[in-house]
Amino acid sequence: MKEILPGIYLQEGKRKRLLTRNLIPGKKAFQEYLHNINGTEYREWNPTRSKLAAGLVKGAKLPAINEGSTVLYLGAASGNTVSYMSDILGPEGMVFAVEFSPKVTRYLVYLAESRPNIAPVLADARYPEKYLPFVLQSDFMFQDIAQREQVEIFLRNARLFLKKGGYCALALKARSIDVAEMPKKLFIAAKAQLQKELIVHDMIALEPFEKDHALFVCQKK
Amino acid sequence: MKKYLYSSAISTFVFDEAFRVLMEVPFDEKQKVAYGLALGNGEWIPTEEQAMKVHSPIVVVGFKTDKKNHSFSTDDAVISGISKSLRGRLFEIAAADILVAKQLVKRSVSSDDIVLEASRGLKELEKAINMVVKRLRGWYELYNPETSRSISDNEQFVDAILSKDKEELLKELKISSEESMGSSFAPHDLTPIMELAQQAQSLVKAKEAQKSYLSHLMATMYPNLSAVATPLLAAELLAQAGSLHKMAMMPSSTIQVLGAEKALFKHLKNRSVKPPKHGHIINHPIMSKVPFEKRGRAARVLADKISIAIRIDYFKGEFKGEQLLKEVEEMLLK
Repeated sequence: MKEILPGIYLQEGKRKRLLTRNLIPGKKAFQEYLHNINGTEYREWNPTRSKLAAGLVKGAKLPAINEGSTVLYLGAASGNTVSYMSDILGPEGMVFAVEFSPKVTRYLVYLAESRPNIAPVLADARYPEKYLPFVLQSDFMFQDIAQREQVEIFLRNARLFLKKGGYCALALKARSIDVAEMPKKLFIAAKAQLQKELIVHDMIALEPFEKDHALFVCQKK
Repeated sequence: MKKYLYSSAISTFVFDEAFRVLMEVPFDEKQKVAYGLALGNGEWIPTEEQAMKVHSPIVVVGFKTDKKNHSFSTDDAVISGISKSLRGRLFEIAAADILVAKQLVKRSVSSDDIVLEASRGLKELEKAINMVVKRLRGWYELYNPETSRSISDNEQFVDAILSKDKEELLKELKISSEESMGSSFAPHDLTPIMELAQQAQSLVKAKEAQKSYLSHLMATMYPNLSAVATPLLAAELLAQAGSLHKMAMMPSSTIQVLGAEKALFKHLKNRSVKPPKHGHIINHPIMSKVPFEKRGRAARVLADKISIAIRIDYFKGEFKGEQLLKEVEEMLLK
C-alpha cells in the first residue's frame, strides 16, 4: 500500500483499491467495504461511484487536498465523495457541500451530523452569491453537476470561493452540454473556456469508470 | 477608512480594511434559522441594519435583491480577507449551515412532490399486482387450470377464486372435475394459495384507493390539465416532467414525447432513426379513437392543448379545460 496523495492510499494487487483512513472507525458512511490494515481502519473508495476517485485512479494530481484544508464541493448529492473528502481532511478540515436537490440533501444532513467536518448547503450552484453567508473561501474546489452551463458555473464559483493559487477540479459530463455532439469536441471547447481564467494542468478522460466524462485539474491564477 | 459588512450563518460582522472584526452581532439559535433563510433569499436582516447604524458608510459583502443604494463588493481580495479572518469560526458556521439546510429541506416539500410520489406509487403497485398474480396463477393452475385460462383479467381472477370453490368454477365452464386437468389438492396445500390470493386482493384495493385519491388530487390542484389529459395521465406527465414549474415551461413538442426519452435520444444521436411520435400521451382515451396513421398528428394536437392547460394551471387562470378538450375532439374526431 502506498500513499499516492496525502491521505489517499492505493493498494496494488489483483484489483487496485483506493483507500482513505476512516475518520470514524467502525462506522460506514454508505455501503462501502472497510479494510483493517495493520490496526488502522480504511474505507474503500469505489471509482465507479465517484468521479474524483476515477480521476485519481487514472493518475490525477491534486496537491491541494491536505489535512486541515477547506474544500468547496459543488453537486454533493447524497455525499458519497464528500465522505471520503472528510476522511482526507481530518477533524481540522472542512467540506462545504453544496447540493440543490432537497431529497438527497437529507442524506447529506445525516452525514454532516455524524461527521463534524461537513457543512451541507442547500443552494443552486448557478448563483454563488446566494450562499456567500454559508461558505468560506476554500483551498480546493470540486464540481460534479450535470448542467448545460457547467463550465460557466465552475468559473463563477472559482472567482468567489477559490483561494489565489488554489487547485480545483471539474468533472465534466459531455452529455449534459449536448447529447448529440462528440464528447471530444466538447472537452476541447471546455478546456479553451477554462484557460481564459484558470491554468489547466490536466485533462483526464474517465473511461472506463464513466462514459463521456472528463476530469479537468485547474489552478487559480 | 473602508469598512465591510458581512453576514455569515452565525453573526453579522463589520470588518475594517485589514479584515479585523470591528463589530459582531451574533445570532441566537432561532435567529440562525430565520436569518439564514432570509440571507439565502437576498433579504436584509435586522442585525445588519443595527450594524449599519453604528458603521456608515459601509461596503456590503453579499447578495441582496434590494440594493438600497449601498455599495457592494464580491472582490476576491475581500472574500479572501473575510474568510481568513473567520477561519477559526469554521465549525460554528458548519453547525449553523446544518440548521439552515434542515429547514430548507422541510420547506421544499410542495404539493407537486405529493403528486409525484402518488403517481409513482400507483405505477409500482400495478407492477407488484402483476407480479403477485402471475405467481398466483402458476400455482393455482396446478389445481384448476381451466378457470385461470378462462379469466384473463387479473383482478377478476383473484376475486373469482376467492369467492367460489373449484366445483362452482368448473360448473360455470361446464367441465366436470374428472375432465379437468387440475389435480386434487389437500386442504393444507390449498391454504397458502388462498392466502396469496388474499394478499393480491388487498393490493388491488390499495391500488384502487390510491387511484381515486390521485384523481381527486389532480382534479382539484390542476383542474385544466386534468380536464384535457384525464387526471391519471396528467399525473403521469407531471411525474415525468419533474414539477409543475418544469412542465409549464416546456414547449408542447417536449410534452408530446414525455415518456419516450429513449427513442428521442436515439434519434438525436443518430438522425437515420425516426423520432418518436408520442410518449405517455398515447394513453389518452382519444388516441385509441384516432386511426393509426393519424396518431402522430393527434399527439401533436393533444400536446398543444395540454401545454396550454398546464400554463393556465401554473398561472392560476380561469377554468378552460373543457373548452380545450372540445377543441381537441373537434380537430381529431370529425
